[in-house]
Amino acid sequence: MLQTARAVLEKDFRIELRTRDAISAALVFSILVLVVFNFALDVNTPEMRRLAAGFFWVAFAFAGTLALDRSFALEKESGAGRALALAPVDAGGIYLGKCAANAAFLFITQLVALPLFVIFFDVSIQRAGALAASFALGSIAFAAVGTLFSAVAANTRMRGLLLPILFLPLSVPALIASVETTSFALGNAEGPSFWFTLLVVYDVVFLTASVLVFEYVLEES
Amino acid sequence: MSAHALECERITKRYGRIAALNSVDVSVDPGECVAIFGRNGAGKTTLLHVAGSLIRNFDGEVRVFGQSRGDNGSDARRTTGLVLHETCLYDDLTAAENLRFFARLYQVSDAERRAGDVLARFELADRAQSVVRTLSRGMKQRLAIARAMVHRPRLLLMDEPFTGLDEPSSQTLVTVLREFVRDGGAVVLSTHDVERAFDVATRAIVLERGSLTLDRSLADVDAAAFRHAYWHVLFTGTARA
Ligand SMILES: Nc1ncnc2c1ncn2[C@@H]1O[C@H](COP(=O)(O)OP(=O)(O)O)[C@@H](O)[C@H]1O
Ligand SMILES: [Mg+2]
Repeated sequence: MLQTARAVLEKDFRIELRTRDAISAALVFSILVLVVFNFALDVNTPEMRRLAAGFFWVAFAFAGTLALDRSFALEKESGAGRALALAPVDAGGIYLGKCAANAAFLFITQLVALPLFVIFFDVSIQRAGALAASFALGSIAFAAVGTLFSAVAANTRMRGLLLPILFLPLSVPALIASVETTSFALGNAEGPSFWFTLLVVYDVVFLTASVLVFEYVLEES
Repeated sequence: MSAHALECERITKRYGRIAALNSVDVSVDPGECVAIFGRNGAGKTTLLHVAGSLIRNFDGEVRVFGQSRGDNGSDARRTTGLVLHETCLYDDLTAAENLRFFARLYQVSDAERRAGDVLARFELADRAQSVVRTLSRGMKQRLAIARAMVHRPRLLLMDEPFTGLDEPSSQTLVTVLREFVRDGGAVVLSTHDVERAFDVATRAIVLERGSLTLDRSLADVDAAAFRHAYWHVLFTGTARA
């Protein structure tokens, strides 16, 4: 299973290095949203600074759907995903590989968007380690749910609409926990252990469940 | 008990009220190359998809080297190679990267060398480092066939494999398939080209609106005689004795 996951992960990285489609789409979108927030709201107030983490993650949740959509579009494009699904490999391995690639792309997008976020919202990073953990666990959470549901949505005609409809509500707990842990890293919240635990549990539960059910998702018609 | 490479038993596939396949029985032995003929919409693609387990929701039974497709068996997957209308290639990977990726998934032990071999076999060695998006249609088709063969399958299911190929490439494919069949492989391919099929097929079947209307060995007929029989079926709906 891990061999399959590695092969799929490397393939997605190679494609992303060549095209930069997923990361650039997500990045442009999240920057746009941050800019719009910045102009639409008066962000230079203490209240706003406390809400900054929330704005960041909301921008990021929507941007993430673009990257996820791209991840499955490339499997659909010339039917390569069909061949992948028919290979004599564990479906869970395919899921883990796609999920790992997506999580990495989301994490990279966040790191690149971070400086703009810091400037626009005038926040300062108090705890870098906590911020990295928050970003990483949050990215994994989004990728875990998103990879599962973009595979579900990929076989339908309304892929673009269905993905956010399925994916955003389910990721609300992860979203809240990500906001709280990022707030903590920015020095705007206390008592992060509950939220970090929630994120870890959420990641483990969704990864495990998805690995188990992915076989049925790949079976179409 | 069965030495059949592929066995399709009473395959019926409905799309709404249309029966794309209507109780089709066909089996293919190692060393056979079966050409499927039939008009557009006759069910050729559907039959190949059912045989290749791209379609799982159908009535009937499909076995590959004795193993039921229903078992979701990885042996059946490992022994099958598929060429579809789509290329099944990643457009943003190079030719060599595509082959190496699929070779790895099939746990081909000498993946690197095998990828190089099939590229060379289909005269793509000089385009190994080209991104698939930049290849011509015929090159993509050759690469799609190379991909289907990279894991050394024993059953090849090919949907109109000659489409887009120039004359030399078609000849290459004929040669490759003949060798494949001589070495005990089994091939099922759909085509509209009677002459080409005669170069390579040992048997021909005709589908009409989802039903099998002709199934005959090509050993004892020539292309003209077969064409005559084929047209007779198409226009009268009955096979001649
Ligand atoms: N996904 C589908 N939905 C509905 N009808 C389909 C679908 N795929 C094929 N068909 C129908 O099944 C019949 C057989 O199609 P097909 O197997 O593609 O024919 P061929 O490959 O011989 O040209 C046609 O009538 C076609 O319209
Ligand atoms: Mg067809």
